[in-house]
Amino acid sequence: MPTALNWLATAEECFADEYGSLRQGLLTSVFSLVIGMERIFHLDEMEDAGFARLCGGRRCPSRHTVGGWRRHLSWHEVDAFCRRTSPWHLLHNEDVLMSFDEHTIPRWTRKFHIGKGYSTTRNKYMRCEKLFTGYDLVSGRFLNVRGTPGNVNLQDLAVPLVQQALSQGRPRSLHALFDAGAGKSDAGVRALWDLAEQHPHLDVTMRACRYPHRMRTWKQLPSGLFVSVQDPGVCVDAPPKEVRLAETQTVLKGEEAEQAIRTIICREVRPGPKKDRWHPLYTTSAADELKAHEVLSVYRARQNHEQGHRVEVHDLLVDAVPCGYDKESPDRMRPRFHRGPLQMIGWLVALMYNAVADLAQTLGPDHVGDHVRTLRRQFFNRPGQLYETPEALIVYLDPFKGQEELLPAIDDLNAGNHRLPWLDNRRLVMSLTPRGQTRDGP
Amino acid sequence: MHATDGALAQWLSQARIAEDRLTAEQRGLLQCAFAFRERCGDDYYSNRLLSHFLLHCDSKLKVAQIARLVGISRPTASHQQDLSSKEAIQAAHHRMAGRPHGKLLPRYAGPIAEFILTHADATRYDIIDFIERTWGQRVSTVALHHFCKKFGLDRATRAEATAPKPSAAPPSAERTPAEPRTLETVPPSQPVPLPPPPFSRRGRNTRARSS
Repeated sequence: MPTALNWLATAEECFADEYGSLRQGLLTSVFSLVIGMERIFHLDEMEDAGFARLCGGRRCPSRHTVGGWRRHLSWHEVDAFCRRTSPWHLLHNEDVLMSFDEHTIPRWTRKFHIGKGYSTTRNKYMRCEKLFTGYDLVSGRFLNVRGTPGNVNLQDLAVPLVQQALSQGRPRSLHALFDAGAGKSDAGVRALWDLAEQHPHLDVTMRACRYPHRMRTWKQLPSGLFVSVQDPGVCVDAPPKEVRLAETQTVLKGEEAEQAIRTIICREVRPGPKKDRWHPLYTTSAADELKAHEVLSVYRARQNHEQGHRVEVHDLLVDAVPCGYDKESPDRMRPRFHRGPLQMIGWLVALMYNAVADLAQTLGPDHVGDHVRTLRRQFFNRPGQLYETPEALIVYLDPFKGQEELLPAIDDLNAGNHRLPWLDNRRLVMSLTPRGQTRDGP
Repeated sequence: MHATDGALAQWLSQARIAEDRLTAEQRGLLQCAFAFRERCGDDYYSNRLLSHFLLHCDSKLKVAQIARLVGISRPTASHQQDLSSKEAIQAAHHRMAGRPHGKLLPRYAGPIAEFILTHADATRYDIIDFIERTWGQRVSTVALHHFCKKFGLDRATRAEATAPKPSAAPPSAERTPAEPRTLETVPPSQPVPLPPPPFSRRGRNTRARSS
């Protein structure tokens, strides 16, 4: 709740609340993610008094209020909110390892002709919209987001996203990791390499696209260039995997040999008749600073970003964000695009991911890395009693296993003296059922 | 001397105070405070006197640093900052006399609220007994009164909240008298027309013929 109140205060500074629906709209959007409400129309069935008070009122909000607020968010106000609520302090004066990637949200509309993009989970080219995110791999937090139509690629946004991280976060050094989508064309690769040349403390590593003519060249490299590295197997008893690494240079299209970029060819040898896997990486880092196997291990950390997206999809329901295409466009074959609703709810999902990770950290080392769904099951969706006195709203949770782990967080919350403006400025107090409480006799 | 210096440095490092950032006056003050602790011990009363002195001697030390030095929490130190010397000594006297000095935490509010609501005729001594049974702390009636008042659980606040609120003016005064309606005149020896069924439209509800 304190974090949500901070977001609400920031939102009140950023958004022009002409219809007075900001508070309910924002809080409902936030707490529906906390409790795991899958779709906005489920609000019609909600009768929970606790949820109503979390959402900024005494009765559960109407989906029309919340949906109306979401649909009319303008992109520049959303950008301001995202900028102000980003955890840029995590980067300040730090050596940062940051990953940039896209998440594809499929759309099944036939009425509106919207841009298509490649959905990797469905392995097909389909109508979609995209959320591009930056993720700090050291702290495991989302840092920025941008909503786009489905036909926008990572290549189009790679440079602006890195520039935003550099200007807002002001890190001591930044190593940016990209998927192959950022280098679909050599021009995209060159744009990032030019940016790295402008900023001496910026390094870029990206997976190279496996175009056939490049693959032919890489496969013809002499075997003496490859160095064998043993990677641990998939489990304790599994045999180690053999990975062969080679260093080479790649000349981009229309460039001179002097402009060739450092390329690390990773060949994963697979037993049996299976074909070997090739993972080429372009990197700006110097060979004397980062060896080939170090670049590979750094790049592998990018998987945590992908995992973050999976958590967003399965636990925080990011695929249920409102669509970006305008359903009231005069020409359904060329619908207008509204970035505001898509980006706002996508960013709220990312903020919720960060807030839950922060909470897990305060709960102790046993809970670090817990998924949202785990914490929701253990701590969030708990029955209890509400006592509304003239001075306070007392939340009294029924006893549950492991409730003692919440004590530090609850004491911090109570010491914060948080007041709820929509409940006549009542103070929020949380209580747990004391263990070993003597029951009254019959 | 070296041993004392080492112990002092350890005391300061435990309190996360950088020695090299202290002024000469602060260093002298903390040396005296350390000597006081060495001589008088670090029991409740010594700590209470020391913290009260350090909080009010304009030492330019932060409240959190003083709290860490004497081993109390930051909110407690902040609370003691507002107390006079008389109140500090009174608190120590209460404790010495064995009077209840338990602390009521905000998270106790839920169980206490439930107890008050389920035991409407419970006295404050019943509530104090309940607190002692539940958390093993004996609190004073004054502390309980302050706690209940803070969270709106005291008898007066509850009575005020549940009492019916008188409106500003009696309802009959504001209500305008209904205008007398003229009755429909019915010609003699004609049946009285039946009232229309509820929710029906006044006009015809079938489309009229076009021509």
